[in-house]
Amino acid sequence: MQRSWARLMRVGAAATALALCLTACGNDSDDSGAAGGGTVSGAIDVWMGDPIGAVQQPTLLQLGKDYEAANPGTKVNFRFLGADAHKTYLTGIAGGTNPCVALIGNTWTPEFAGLGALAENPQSADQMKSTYVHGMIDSTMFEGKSYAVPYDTGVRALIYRKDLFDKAGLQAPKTWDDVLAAATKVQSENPGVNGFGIVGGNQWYWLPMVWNWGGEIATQADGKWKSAINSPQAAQAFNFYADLLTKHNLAPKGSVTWQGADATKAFALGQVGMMVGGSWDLKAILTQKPDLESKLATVAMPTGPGGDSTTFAGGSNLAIFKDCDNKATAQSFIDFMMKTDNLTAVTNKIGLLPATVEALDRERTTGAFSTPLLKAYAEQSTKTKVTPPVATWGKVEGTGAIVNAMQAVMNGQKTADAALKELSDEIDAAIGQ
Amino acid sequence: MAITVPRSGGRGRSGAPARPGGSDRLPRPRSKRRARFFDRVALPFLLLVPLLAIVIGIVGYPIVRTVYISFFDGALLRVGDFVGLGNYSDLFTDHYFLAALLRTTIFAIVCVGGTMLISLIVAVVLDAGPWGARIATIIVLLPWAMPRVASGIIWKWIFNDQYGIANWLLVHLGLHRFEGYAWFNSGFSSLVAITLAVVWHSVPFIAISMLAGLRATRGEVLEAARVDGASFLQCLLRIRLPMMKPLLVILTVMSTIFAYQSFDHFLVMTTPPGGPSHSTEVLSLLTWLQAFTELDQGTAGAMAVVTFVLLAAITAVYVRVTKEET
Repeated sequence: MQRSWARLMRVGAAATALALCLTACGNDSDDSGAAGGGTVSGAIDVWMGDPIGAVQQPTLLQLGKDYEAANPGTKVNFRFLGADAHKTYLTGIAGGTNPCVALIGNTWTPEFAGLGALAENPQSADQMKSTYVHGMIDSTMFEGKSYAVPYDTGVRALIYRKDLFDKAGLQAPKTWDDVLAAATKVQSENPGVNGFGIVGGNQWYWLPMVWNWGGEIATQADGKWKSAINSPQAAQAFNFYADLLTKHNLAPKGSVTWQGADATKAFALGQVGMMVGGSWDLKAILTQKPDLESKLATVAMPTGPGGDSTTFAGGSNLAIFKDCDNKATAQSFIDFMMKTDNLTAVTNKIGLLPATVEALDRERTTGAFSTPLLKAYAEQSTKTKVTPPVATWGKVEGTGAIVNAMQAVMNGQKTADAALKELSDEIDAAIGQ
Repeated sequence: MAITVPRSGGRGRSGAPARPGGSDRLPRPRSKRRARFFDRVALPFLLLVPLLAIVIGIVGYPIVRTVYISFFDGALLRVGDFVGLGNYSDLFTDHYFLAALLRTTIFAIVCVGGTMLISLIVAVVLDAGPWGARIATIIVLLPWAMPRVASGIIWKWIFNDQYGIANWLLVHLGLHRFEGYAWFNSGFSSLVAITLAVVWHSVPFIAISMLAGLRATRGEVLEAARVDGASFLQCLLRIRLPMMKPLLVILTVMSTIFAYQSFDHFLVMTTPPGGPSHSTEVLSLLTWLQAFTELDQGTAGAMAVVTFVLLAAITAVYVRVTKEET
């Protein structure tokens, strides 16, 4: 039987508290007097979830040590949450056991702010605009106020097989129509190669096409968000993507449920000629098949009929929780983490772009993203948007409503109009509160 | 219960017999009666208190709390307004929920049937004790020891449209329509794959339990039947299985509950969980989605209560049927 949700939360909270105590209490003795005041001293708990994995942990632990050395009397207690971070944070919010500083997914920021869990970011709007990548600032906002600072950002671009394109006399696609034409030609000339890597199971690979076609996911009027997905532009975008599979057969049938990892695997095996993919997808391809590096090229996202080539800004933000009793140290630690050298040390390990203007410029000109293969990502990172900053947006993502709508179109169960009408109702039910 | 409790009726009525038909017993001194009362009635309960507290704490409270929550609106992480039976009426007008209810029930029937049949075959073979039966018994148990999420991922790979061994096998058996067949594109074929995975995971426990049951039926009755010339099959169907009936009922109830609770395999094997386009949604998954992604614990509570009532009813029917037959 399903245990009561509240009960689970309490058990989880208790377990978290216990775990925290076991790991952190021993160090707490030296932070007496630090709480509340403006002095930078004492211990803070810092939680980090996805995309921080085993590879990045040593870098972060070293940064923690550097910070402690630069600020005597401070102590940074890291906890790495892994892929289940979202639920761990929610459990913590319900049980009041959250850390001081946390790296949270950018789409969770409005959600946690809406739950009243985050402390407001003291920076002014102008200050933020001059410091951070524009598309990522929006993801820290909730009801006109900012609750976090953008940390890293990941964008998608087109990854394609330059060798096959050259052989067919094709240029890098500039529009979605170019994509269709090139994919068709590459597929017909190379038996065993699929023209385009469809990722039906993950909305971030194709939902931005609604923007490309001139549509919107949701719009705001009088402070209220309302779904705008039930539009002809969105229907055309959905149909275009579904047709790549159903009409033009540019991918295996199973790609209806493919995730990014399925497409990168097929790409690495030489079975895909072109796909939309993030810098992390590119990394995954080259890890699996290093000798593809000379045959690959990337280009910024193609433009749709709406004259737009925006993609989704994925990434993470650094936030301070409201209940933190050592905000001075928390803020000083965040400032330390956002210094260009410290920031790029981590983002390079993840394979994502840093979210500050200064660090991004350096990455683009002389840093890791100045190479021909990664340049497209730095370029694309200025053309991004985020999901509607509504506390309950997570409902739309979590239930898979958007993916279900696309799959219904791909499987021929619904027309794009009918699927989007239903999706629109679901989005309104979720965010229209 | 056959606990004899001395009635206190004799108290104050001196001369009257302490209990009907008890005229041959003299009323005991009060302190002794009290001691007896303590020993026979209070003490057992007192000894049970710690256990009862634990049971009430970890079973009773969550159930009561779930029922309570199901009468309220879910508002993110807080309990919202009282809505009475609103959550329930919403559920029974929601066609996705009704479809999931039906789907879960059919899935459970197929799973329980498959699990019981395969387990019985495995148990009978192991009981017959061929060479290497002991090692085979251990090997049979292995799937049970595997985390369900891990086995779900492996089954998903087995049914992968491009590289999966299932398609490779089927094509080599001459079924060429399975060349690149995408199992997880439609609800029905997804459910076939998931059912196989779930049955594979539940057979070990049931089979080993049945093996223990079969072992217990070896004895005089069976020997007598064999002497009278009963065949192996007759022995199994007419003597051993009827003797195992109470065990079989419990195992059926348990595997029904397992089947209704199946969650990990659905979560891991379908994209998005319950997809494509809602076609593999089952009760457990919907409850989880409501509670942890829609953060609507009111509706999730109502779903949990419906599942609970359904399972309680099924269990009651099983128990009633066996009671009537024996």
